Amino acid sequence: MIELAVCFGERSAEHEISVITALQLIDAIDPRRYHVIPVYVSPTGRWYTGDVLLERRTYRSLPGSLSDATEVLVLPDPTVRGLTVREKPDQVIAIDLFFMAFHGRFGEDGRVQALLDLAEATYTGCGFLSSAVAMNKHLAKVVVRAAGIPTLPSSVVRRDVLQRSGRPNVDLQSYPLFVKPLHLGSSVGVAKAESPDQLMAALCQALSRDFEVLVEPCIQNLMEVNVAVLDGDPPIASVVEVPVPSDDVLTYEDKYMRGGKKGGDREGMASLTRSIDPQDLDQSIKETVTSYALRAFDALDCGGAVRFDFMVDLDLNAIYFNEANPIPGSMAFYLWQKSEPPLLYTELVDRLVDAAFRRRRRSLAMPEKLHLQALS
Amino acid sequence: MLLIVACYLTWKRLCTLLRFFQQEAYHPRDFLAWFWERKAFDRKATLICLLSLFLLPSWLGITALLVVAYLEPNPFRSGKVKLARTARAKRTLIMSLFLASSVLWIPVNFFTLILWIQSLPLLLVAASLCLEPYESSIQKRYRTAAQKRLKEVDPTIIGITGSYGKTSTKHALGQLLQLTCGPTFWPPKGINTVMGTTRSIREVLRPGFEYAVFEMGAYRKGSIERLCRFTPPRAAIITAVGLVHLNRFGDAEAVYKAKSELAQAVPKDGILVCNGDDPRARRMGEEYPKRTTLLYGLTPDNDCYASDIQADPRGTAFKLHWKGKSYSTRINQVGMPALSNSLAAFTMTCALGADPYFASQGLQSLHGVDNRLELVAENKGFTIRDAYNSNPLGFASALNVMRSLPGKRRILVTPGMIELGAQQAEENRRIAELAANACDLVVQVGHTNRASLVEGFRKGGMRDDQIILTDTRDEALAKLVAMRMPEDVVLIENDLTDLHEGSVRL
Repeated sequence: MIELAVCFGERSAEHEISVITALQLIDAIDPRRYHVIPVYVSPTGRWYTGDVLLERRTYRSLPGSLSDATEVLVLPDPTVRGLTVREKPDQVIAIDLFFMAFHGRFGEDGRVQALLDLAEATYTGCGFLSSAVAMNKHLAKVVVRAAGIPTLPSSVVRRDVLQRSGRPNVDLQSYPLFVKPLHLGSSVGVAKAESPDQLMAALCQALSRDFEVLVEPCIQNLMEVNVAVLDGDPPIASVVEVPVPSDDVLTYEDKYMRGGKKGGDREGMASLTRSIDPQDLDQSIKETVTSYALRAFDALDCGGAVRFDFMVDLDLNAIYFNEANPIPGSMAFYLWQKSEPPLLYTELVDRLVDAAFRRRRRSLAMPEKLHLQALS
Repeated sequence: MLLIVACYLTWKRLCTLLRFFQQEAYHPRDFLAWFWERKAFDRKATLICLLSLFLLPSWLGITALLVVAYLEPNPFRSGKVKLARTARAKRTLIMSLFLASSVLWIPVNFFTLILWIQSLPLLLVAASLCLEPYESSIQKRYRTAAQKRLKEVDPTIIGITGSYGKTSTKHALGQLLQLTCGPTFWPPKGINTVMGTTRSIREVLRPGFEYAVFEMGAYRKGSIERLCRFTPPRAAIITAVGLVHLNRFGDAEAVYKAKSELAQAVPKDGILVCNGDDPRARRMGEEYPKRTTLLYGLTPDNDCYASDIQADPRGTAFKLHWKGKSYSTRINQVGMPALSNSLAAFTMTCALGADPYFASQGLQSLHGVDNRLELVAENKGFTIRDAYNSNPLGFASALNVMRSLPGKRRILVTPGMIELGAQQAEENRRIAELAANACDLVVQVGHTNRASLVEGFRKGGMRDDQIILTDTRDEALAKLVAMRMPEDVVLIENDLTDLHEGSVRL
C-alpha cells in the first residue's frame, strides 16, 4: 500500500478549482493500491489533513469546519518522511508520495515543490524549477522560443514601475492588445484593449490581480488548441482539444462555471463545452501542435502530465505557444480518456505515480560528505 | 435521574442562549434587553415541570424534558448566524458550568428546576462578568500588540466615516491605492471597531505596507475619537452625515458631532475629503479645514465631479473631472452610492500623489463588496442583493436601480429598516410608499416594521394581494423561489440577523 498524500488548496485564485480537481482525483484513485491521505492547504496557508476533507460540505463552511481536521506541517527535514502534526511534533503521518493537485500560485509554481525537495520527498508533476518557469508566462516563452517554438511578441509591465512613471512603456503597436497577469492561470484578470486609450484600463484590470503583466497582440481570428503531454520513456501526447468559448477568449466563468448545473456539483474544466479530437480540425495543425508540445515538455524539463495551450491565427495560418499548465484542471483526464490508446483516470494516476518515483530516482544518491575545511 | 436530565437540558439551553449572547458581543445589558424584548423565557420545560408537579407522573415528566432537550436545535449548526466555536465562547461555557456546579447542593425537583431554567440567562451573564477581568486583559494585550505593529509598520493612515458608504469606500480606496500608489492594508468586510481592527492588524499587517485604510463606525459619542487614538489618521474621507443609528444618538446634531471627531483627529497638514453632495459633510470640510481639503460629488462645484453618467446592468460609465481635466471611465457597480464612493476613492488617491489618469482608469478594475447593491444576472432577469444594513438613501437608490433594469415583474423582499430611533416608523412608511410605485409584488419579512411598511405600501397604491407577509427570511426566500419567473427583477433589501427576526420560542 502506498501512502499517498493528495495535496490541494493554497493561496491562489484557483483555490476552489483545486478542491474540485482533488476530490475528483481521489474518487478515481485505486484504493487497493493506494491509501489516500487528503492534505488541504487553507486560503491562509495552513496545512490540514483528516477525513473531513473528503466531504464537499467542509468547503462550504470554512474556516469553522477545519476545527475537525488536524493541522500538519511539512518540515524541510529529510529525516521526517511525512507530515508532522503541528500540536504534537513527535507524531508523524508517514507519506510515501505527495500527489500535487494545486492550481495557481504557491502550489503549481514550484514553491511547494521546492519545500518538498528540501524534505527530499517524492512528488508528482514537474520539479520546482520547471514549475516556476512554466508558470511565469514571460520566462516560459523565452525558454520555448529558444527551443524553436514560435510565440507572439510581448511586453512586460510591472506595477511598481507604472506607479513611478505613470505611463506604460509598451512597445507593441498593433491593436487590439491582450493583457494578462504573468503568474496566474485560468484567465484570471485578463483584459483586452481595442485601442490605445483602452490600454491603461486593461493594464489596471490585470495589475489589480498581479504585480507583473504581459501584453501581447490579440489574434482576431483565433482558435485555441490544447494538448497534454505525459512523462514517460518517451513522453507521449494526448489528443488535442479545441475549447469552445462564449466570447472571443475563454473567461474564468467559461472555464469553470458554464456546464455546471445549478445545484449540482461543479466539475471544472471537465464540464466545459469542448471539442476533443475534432474531426474537422486540420491534421497538420494537430501534428504541429503535438510536436511543439513534446518539444516544449523537453525544453522546460517537465514531469507529470502537463497541458500546453496554443493559439492558432486562422488568417495567417500561424501557430503560437500560449502557455504551459504544470497541473491542469482535472489533470486533463478528459483528454487522456479520448486518446489512442485511451488512458482512464485510474491508469493516469498510476502513470503519474510511477513517473514521480522515476523522477526521484534520477537524483537519488548517497548524501555528499561535507568537509568543513575552510572553517577549521 | 431528574438531575441528569436537568444537566443535559442546562447544557443545551446554555449553548442556545450563548448564540444570541455572542451576537450581542457579550454585552450583558444588550443581551438582557434583547431577552426581555423577545420574551425569550423558557416555556416548554417550565410547562412540563408545572404539569409534573400537579398532574403527570414523574417518569413522564422526566421523559418529556429529555425529549425537549434533545429536540433543541444545535446552535453550532442552525440559525442565520451560527454559534462560532471561539476561545471566548468556550471559556464562557466552561465558566457557566463551573458556576452551575456551585448550586448542585440544592435538591433537584420540578419546582427548583423551573427556577433554575428561568435563571440560565442570568447565569450566562454572571459567567461573562466573572471572566470580564480576564477577557479585558487579553483584549488589552492584543490591542497593545496591534498598536506596536502599527507603529512599527508606520503606514499612512486614512480614516473613513459616514452614515453610509464606509465599507464600500474603504474597499474601493484600498484597491485603488494598492494599484496606483503602493502596498495597502485594509481590514476585511465591514470591520470598524477597535477590537475588529486589532484582530485584523495582528493577522495581516506586516512591515512593507505603506497605506492603511480604516473605516470608523460612530457607535456612540467618543467611539471615533477612541478609534483615532488607536489608528491616528493623516487623512480622512467623510462620505455622508445622515439619519442612521438615530436610536443611539438622539438627534442629527449629535450624529454630526460624533462624525466630526474624525475630521478633528486629522492633523492640520493632513488631507480631508468630503462628499460635496451631502450638506453636513460639506459643512464639516468648512469647519475643519486642512492643508488639503477637497470635495467630491455630482455637481461642478466640487473639486472632483462626475458628468455624462450612463448606467447599464453591468455598471456605470461617466466622465470624471479633476483639476481642469476630464477622463472617461466606468465602474462595475450600479447605483449612485457606488459612483459617489468611487469619486471619494479617486479624490483621496490623487491627493496622496497618484497619477490621475492611472487612478481614473484604475476605477474600472475595482470589485464591489458583497451584498451591497450587488447586481447578479440570473434567471433571465436580475437579483439585486442589497442585504447588508439598509438606510433610507440606500434603499431609495436600490429602488432606482431596480426601476432602471429591464424585466417583466419587480419584486421587493424586505423586513424594512432598523436602528432609526424615533424616526423608524415614519422612514419605513415613506420608503414603502416609494417602493409601491416601483414594484409589482412585495414580500414583507418579520414583524419589526410590518405595520409601518404595510401602511406605506397601501398608501402608495398597492393592493393587499400584492403584499405577501412572511415571518422569517428563510420563509420569504422560499416563497420567492416558488413564485419567481424568468425576467423578474428581484431586490433583496436588508437582511436582519436572527437577533431581530422571527420568534424565539424556548
